[in-house]
Amino acid sequence: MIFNSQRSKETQARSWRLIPQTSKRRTVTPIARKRMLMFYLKATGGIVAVAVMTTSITAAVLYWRSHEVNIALGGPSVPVSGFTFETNGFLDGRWASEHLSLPVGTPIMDVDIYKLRDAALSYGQVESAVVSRLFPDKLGISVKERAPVLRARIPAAGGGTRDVFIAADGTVYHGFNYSVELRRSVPFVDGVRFQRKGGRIVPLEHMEVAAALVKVARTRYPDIYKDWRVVDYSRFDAEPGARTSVLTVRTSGGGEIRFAPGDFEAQLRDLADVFAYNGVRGEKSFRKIDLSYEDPVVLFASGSTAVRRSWGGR
Amino acid sequence: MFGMTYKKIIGAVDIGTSKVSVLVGEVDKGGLTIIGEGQSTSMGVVKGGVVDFTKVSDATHAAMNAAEKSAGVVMEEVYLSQTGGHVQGFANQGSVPIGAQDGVVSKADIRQAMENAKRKELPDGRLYIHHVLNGYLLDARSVESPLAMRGEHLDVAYWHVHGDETQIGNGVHVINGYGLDVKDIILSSIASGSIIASKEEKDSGVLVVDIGRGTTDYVLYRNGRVQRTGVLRVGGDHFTNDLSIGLRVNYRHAERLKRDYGKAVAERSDGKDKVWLFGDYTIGDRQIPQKAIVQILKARADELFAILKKELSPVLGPDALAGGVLLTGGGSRLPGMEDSARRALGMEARASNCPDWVRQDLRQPEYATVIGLLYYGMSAQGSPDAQGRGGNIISRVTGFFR
Repeated sequence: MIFNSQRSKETQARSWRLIPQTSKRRTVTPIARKRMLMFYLKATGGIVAVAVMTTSITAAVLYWRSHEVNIALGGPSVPVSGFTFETNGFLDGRWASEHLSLPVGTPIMDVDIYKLRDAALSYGQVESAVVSRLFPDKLGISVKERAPVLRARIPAAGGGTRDVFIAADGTVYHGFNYSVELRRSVPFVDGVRFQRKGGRIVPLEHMEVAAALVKVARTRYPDIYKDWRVVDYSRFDAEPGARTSVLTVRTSGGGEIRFAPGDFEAQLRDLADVFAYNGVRGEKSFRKIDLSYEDPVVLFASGSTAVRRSWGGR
Repeated sequence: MFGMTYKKIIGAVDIGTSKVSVLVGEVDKGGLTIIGEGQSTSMGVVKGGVVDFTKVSDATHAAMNAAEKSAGVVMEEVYLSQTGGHVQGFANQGSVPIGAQDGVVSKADIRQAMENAKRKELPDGRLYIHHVLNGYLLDARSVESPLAMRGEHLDVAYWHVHGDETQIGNGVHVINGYGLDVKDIILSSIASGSIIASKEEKDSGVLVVDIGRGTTDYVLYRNGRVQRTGVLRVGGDHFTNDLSIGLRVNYRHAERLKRDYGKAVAERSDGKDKVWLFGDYTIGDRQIPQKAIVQILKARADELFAILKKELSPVLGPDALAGGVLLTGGGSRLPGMEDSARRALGMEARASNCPDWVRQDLRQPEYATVIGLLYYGMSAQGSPDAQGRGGNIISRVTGFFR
């Protein structure tokens, strides 16, 4: 909105919108009465016209097709002098200028805003985009960015390697303007195959599972999440009801945590309980924690024997 | 199915003390085209408030009818301006602690803070007109948009504008009497400001003063947002009345003297120049020094800007606005008003018209409010929900019979 003004119908305090507009309290002037009469006459005429058209629909369609014309509506059109850019993420005006080839100087009505939107959407980091004309002479570009769930290190075109990021919908993209801290906080993915098609990396399947796990861990258990380095899909089976399907998380301490694909809230709650319990007992390091069973199974680094404990289950 | 394009005919109605202005605009994917205009001399309005409902209806319906005739189409919905001494405003903040454990601000947090800000009850007989977003404070730091940022406490600042229920209802019912609904009400000063001030001026800080016949409306922009609005019960009529009383002539002659010889600043030559009091050279007509007219008008202009300065002193502070003062409205045509404003407010002041892309004959300061209304209407049509309604053929047909 141009005024940055917010109106809300849910507002509990009284707004002018409470005034009933169908109120009897009207002064209908002769001018208004005449106008309404004209409305009714036109409506009647319209109904008659529809009836006539219905009876001669075939002829009308033929006539319409044979007399089809393009009507050009002209109006004052000012050259585009600039643009505004809004995002919920990290892209910026520099990106918009470089990637979208903004048609500065083109008359605003001649700008193909749909083409600009498609150009924005072709960039993997952009999830959705809206391009609008801001009269008289500006374009508005508003984008919503994908959030990184996992990252991967893949061979770069010119040799060496480079990091790419994977969103919840499996889209693989370069994280434009991502800070070093952000890049480092995103775990790597393992156990998946990258395929190229038409010069682009094909979106990975089943990434929504890891996204759900990472989202709960990142928001609810940041102390646990900060040690996660790799999310491994090697043992993941997308078949419904698969008995052995797990996501494996490898931590910075060399430990391994296995999650069943579902109800990550409960599994992470159990994991937090395991850490809290072991912290009290002084057993801080572990080799493996399997949360895919009803009760968590923990294999400690201190001994060669697997120790099974029950924390009450889920 | 047939490649139908979205198109809507909207009307902007400004019921002022001196005249009723109506513009008809056609909004489609390509933007806004002004296709009709109508104007009538206003009746039954004093200081922006309706005092005779029937007369106001007559004048308004005449102007709306003229506008529809010049456009050749009927309006589908109306945007109405609101002014008057009853309009007031106050600042209020809505606060909310950030709900997420990681402290990331979500849309729900922002929505909750906004609703908290708007929840303040008004006295009986008062209704909200606008809730103008003033900005966000995240942990007491001003931020442009708090979404996805980290913090513990979010405040959303609003400037709330409210008015008298009866007065607002009068305006709405006048439009209803013509067989149309009011789609939205926009404060006159905000409508004028939206079209008069450029984005750069709003960003750097600017005061838009719309001097009408019965009232003077103002809007203060800072950091691109509306920070304050207000209505002073002083307008061009007061200048004329002062002349009428001071020179002992009737209102008509006083208006002529103001228009032909009036100035808001005194010059040396004013002492020498003489003007005819009635101008018809009849018995009783006599010459008076132009200085007498200028002195009366200057005093009123100085007083007007002094009141404005006093009203704005809590928010203006000692710093001048980089964008200065933009004067508009019919009252700004009085020569010397810029000088008077500059002296009283201590910052650059200039008369301002509508931008160049507005049709030449509509760029006059008197049209600023009604063009701003239409511009607002066009922007509102761009919103997804508005398009959803507008594209519904059923609603168009039912609207036809209202």
